[in-house]
Amino acid sequence: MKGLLLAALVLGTAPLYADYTPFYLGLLTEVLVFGLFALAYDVLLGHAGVLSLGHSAFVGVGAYTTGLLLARRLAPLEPSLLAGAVGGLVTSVVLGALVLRKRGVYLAMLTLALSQVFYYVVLMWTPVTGGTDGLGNLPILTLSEPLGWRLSKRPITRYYVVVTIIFVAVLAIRHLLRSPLGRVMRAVKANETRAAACGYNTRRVRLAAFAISGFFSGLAGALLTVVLEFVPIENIHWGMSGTVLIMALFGGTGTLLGPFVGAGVFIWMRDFLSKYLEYWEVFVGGAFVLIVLFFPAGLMGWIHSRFPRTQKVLE
Amino acid sequence: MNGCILILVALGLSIVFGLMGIINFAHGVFYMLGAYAGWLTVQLTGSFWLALLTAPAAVGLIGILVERGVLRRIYGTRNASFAGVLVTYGLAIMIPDLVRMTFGRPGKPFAAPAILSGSLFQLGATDVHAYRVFILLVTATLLPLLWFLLNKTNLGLVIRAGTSDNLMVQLLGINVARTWTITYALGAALAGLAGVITAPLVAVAPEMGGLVLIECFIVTVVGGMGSFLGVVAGGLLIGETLALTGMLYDVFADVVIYLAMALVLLVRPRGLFGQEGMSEE
Repeated sequence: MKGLLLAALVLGTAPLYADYTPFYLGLLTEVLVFGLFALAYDVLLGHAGVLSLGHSAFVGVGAYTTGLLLARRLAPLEPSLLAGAVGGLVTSVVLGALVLRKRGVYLAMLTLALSQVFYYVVLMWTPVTGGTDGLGNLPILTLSEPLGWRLSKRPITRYYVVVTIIFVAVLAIRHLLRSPLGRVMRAVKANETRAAACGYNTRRVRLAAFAISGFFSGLAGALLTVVLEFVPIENIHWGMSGTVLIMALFGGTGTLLGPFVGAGVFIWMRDFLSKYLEYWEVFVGGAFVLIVLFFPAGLMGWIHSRFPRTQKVLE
Repeated sequence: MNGCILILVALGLSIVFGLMGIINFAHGVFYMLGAYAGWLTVQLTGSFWLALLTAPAAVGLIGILVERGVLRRIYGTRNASFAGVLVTYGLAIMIPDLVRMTFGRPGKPFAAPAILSGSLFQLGATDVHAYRVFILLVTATLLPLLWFLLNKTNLGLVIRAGTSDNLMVQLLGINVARTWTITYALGAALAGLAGVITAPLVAVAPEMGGLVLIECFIVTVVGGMGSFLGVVAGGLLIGETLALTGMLYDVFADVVIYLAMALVLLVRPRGLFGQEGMSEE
């Protein structure tokens, strides 16, 4: 709990002392949204022990649902965000029900292949989705009355609104992971046979993990639309699944803070390393291989094991 | 994507998965490296026929390096099959950028030798291109050889035994580690050969491995993971489906194969020729 208060304090005051420019604030917002995505992803990987390579579908459906409602239906912002999250939820339940017939890496391969269906649907349905050009022409984003704040071109307002939503989402995920359901998820990960012998329907537990992961991935996608005010088709391409996997593993699976750290490191590499090094993917890929081989617990996992007290304070 | 080439690439993926339980994300990269090795050979010597030998040899060698240098470290660790996906995925991000660094971003033109270019004869209203016939011949020669290797030799026996029960094979005193290296190199070499054969049909580019990898996944899922016949049938089925829908309604071609896969999964989760209980994990 101390850690959460600390996080709230740091994030709440960040615009005051951070090198305050709209650019950096936008970057910080993006890092936090991707951190939420990576945390949602980690509900499956770190807690339920399911390796998914199909999260591009969940985040992408979330992003496009929100984007389409805003741009084509001129719907108000809040219901559109919620619809994005629900879109992610529905997608993940459908996809999960299909792929959970298999396990392990075989399942991973299926999530990847099935998630590409969504990419091709967006690609083919150009009149509605904008195809390869992405979905643009979003109206000016404002919160509904009584607040009525304008988000477009106001990085600080946008930052605080997005941070508040993410903070609530993280609290919800934390609560779910500490609930009996979260414990059963970890039991299924640790020893599926035994969990089944204890009377748990392991497939249903994993489907629940898919649903939680899908809902918050969809929310992350919806927020991404708000942050970028645009939906690039890359948001639903399977590269997104790879990106979130790298972020979750960089930061450390099974931790609450790790996915945010991982998202920060990845976006730092993408935006700053690439300024000096044209071929930055060599370093991302290389660092990824090294982390998997030598630091499988990731950055936060490593810190937690070296300084056990940090886990108590931060998680 | 040509059905024959799909079979060659998917076969390598399937053999490696069957024995090692690793989904080799670097497989598409091996395919791409094969095309580059072939291009380099043609640049240096001018011989396409030599490239057919050097490409699989070079990529097989890279396969040995990857297996010895990287994959060896994860065997026996907890969640080795996850880690296998992850490290090979890391390599799949890294290597195309290394290739861009060495050969530049734009693709390389790669022409088929004169004897194989142009059309051979007319079949109805369509030209039958000499190069397509050549691909068919190469596949038709290689498949029986590979089948023989896997089913009638000692090495094949060990590979197949290792596929069904790895630990037992080790207990029988067989050096499985060496078999794994050979298998991984064989899979890589197959991808490399497919890469150099495809090169004249497409542009040789660092990105060429990405799509083929996913198509191979579909082939192996439809055919049945680890099954030789399954890969052949799946490769032909998916290759033909792609070609036919491509001809009739081109934007639909990519989606149809994914839907075919979802259908197979629903009706027959182990794939057309997969054995029951195999590759459930």
